Amino acid sequence: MKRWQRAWIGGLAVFAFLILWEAATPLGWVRVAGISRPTLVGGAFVQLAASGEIYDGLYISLKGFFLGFVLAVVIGIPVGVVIGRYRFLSMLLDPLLMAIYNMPKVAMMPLLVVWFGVGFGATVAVVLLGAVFPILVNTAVGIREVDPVWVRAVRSFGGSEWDVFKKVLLPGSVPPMMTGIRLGVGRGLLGVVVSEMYASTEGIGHLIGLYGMSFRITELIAMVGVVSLLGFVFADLIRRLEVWVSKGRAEVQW
Amino acid sequence: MLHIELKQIRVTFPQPEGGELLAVDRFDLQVQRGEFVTIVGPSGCGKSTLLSVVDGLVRSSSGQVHVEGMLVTGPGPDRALVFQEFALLPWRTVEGNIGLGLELQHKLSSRRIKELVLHYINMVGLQGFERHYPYQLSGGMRQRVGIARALAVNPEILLMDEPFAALDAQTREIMSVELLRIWEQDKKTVLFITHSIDESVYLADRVVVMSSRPGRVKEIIQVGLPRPRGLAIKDAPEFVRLRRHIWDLLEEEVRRQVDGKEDRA
Repeated sequence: MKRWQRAWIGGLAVFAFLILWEAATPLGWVRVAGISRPTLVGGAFVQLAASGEIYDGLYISLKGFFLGFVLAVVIGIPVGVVIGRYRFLSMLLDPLLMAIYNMPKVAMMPLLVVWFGVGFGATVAVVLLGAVFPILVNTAVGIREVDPVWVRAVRSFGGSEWDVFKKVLLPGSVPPMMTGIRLGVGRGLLGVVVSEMYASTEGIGHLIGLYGMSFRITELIAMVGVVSLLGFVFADLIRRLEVWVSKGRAEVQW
Repeated sequence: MLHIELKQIRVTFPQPEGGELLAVDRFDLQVQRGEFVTIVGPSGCGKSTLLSVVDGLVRSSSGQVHVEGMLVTGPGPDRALVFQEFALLPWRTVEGNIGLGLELQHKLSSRRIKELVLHYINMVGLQGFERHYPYQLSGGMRQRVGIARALAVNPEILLMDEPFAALDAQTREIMSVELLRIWEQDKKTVLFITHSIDESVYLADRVVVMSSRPGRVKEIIQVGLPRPRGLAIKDAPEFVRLRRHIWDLLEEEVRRQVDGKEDRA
């Protein structure tokens, strides 16, 4: 099936959902104050965009997100590679990492504020904490699952440990690594919103918190929509990146 | 002229539940330059391990391997290994895979590598597939890439670890004919592991028959069949006699192995 056909079928469900949502109030199922309506949300979105509120918020939020995320990649991939490669390190660190991985980072918010201050610092920290573990763990898994016979091939041609790393481990573990990055994006976005809701005076998350607190449901949904859209765009970008990186091995069974 | 010498090779592997597995024991072999030697033995007799020791990927627990009088302590440019599982990198094209060994030598320019790769692509008959990825190739073609990759570093010794075991019967026959054709061009020294008796006789100057684990030399058989050899030689009385003889030797070993297992059970 062609891509546009798939997109169209998927769009159908979104469209149906919007219709139902729009119709819910006139049909008397719910009161508009409780769930708003797509047309109202659209209007609010335009208004927020025109006033510049969205852009200002986005700028702050994305800045925090990117800094935290880049740090997560820069830390997560090398550490994941080393843990995946050396059994002793993985035995040593796996339990600790798993414990931190599964810890609800959001619950640590107050502590992070103490450490990094209200606002930007805490946001970067939450994004980093949220994104680094999926990246690290999946990279390690990818390294571990690289076929040992590839390593033997490079070794038999006199390749050094560095050659093994460059020619086999890194390219061989790209698919799980990309999975980690995708999961990391999701966690990072969540981190931005939560951090800004609780410990910031600016950014999209802060606006969501503000509108939520004052029960301005329409604006709240418009802002949440912005975050969803971001997640969607990022996921798509990463999928494209994945295809680009793994050109030619897309059809190999991993 | 003596090329490879294995002296009293013994290989043990530690077992997860403790203790050691004796894979190869008191293995002696001398291979002359330009000689094609096949090693045949029951499965699990340590023949692949032995080859890894000659390549330098696995250290023997005791005993030594000398190549041209020099002690082997690790992989070297004078030896190249062809793998049963082909061991091609799936994200590299045919060209990229064949060039791997040359790249790892860190000596040649990428232009020179490309020229050499082209030469070996022609030698193994893969013209037109330069840009293909391994998953786009049949098993036989993949192993041609594996062979070209080994030949490309111009080793003096070709170590082949059951290279045709993963291929279907017809492809296997064609590949062994092809291998001899390529080998006749410059007669490198070859150590070829197989569990196919037919293959061992067809290819070899000498066949080493191994015992079941721990692998030892059971008997070394001189193959006097004339070269170059076509497939028709498999019907020659001498071929049939050798095959029969090797089969008898192996049958003993396989029986010993099976009986041994039953005793334990």
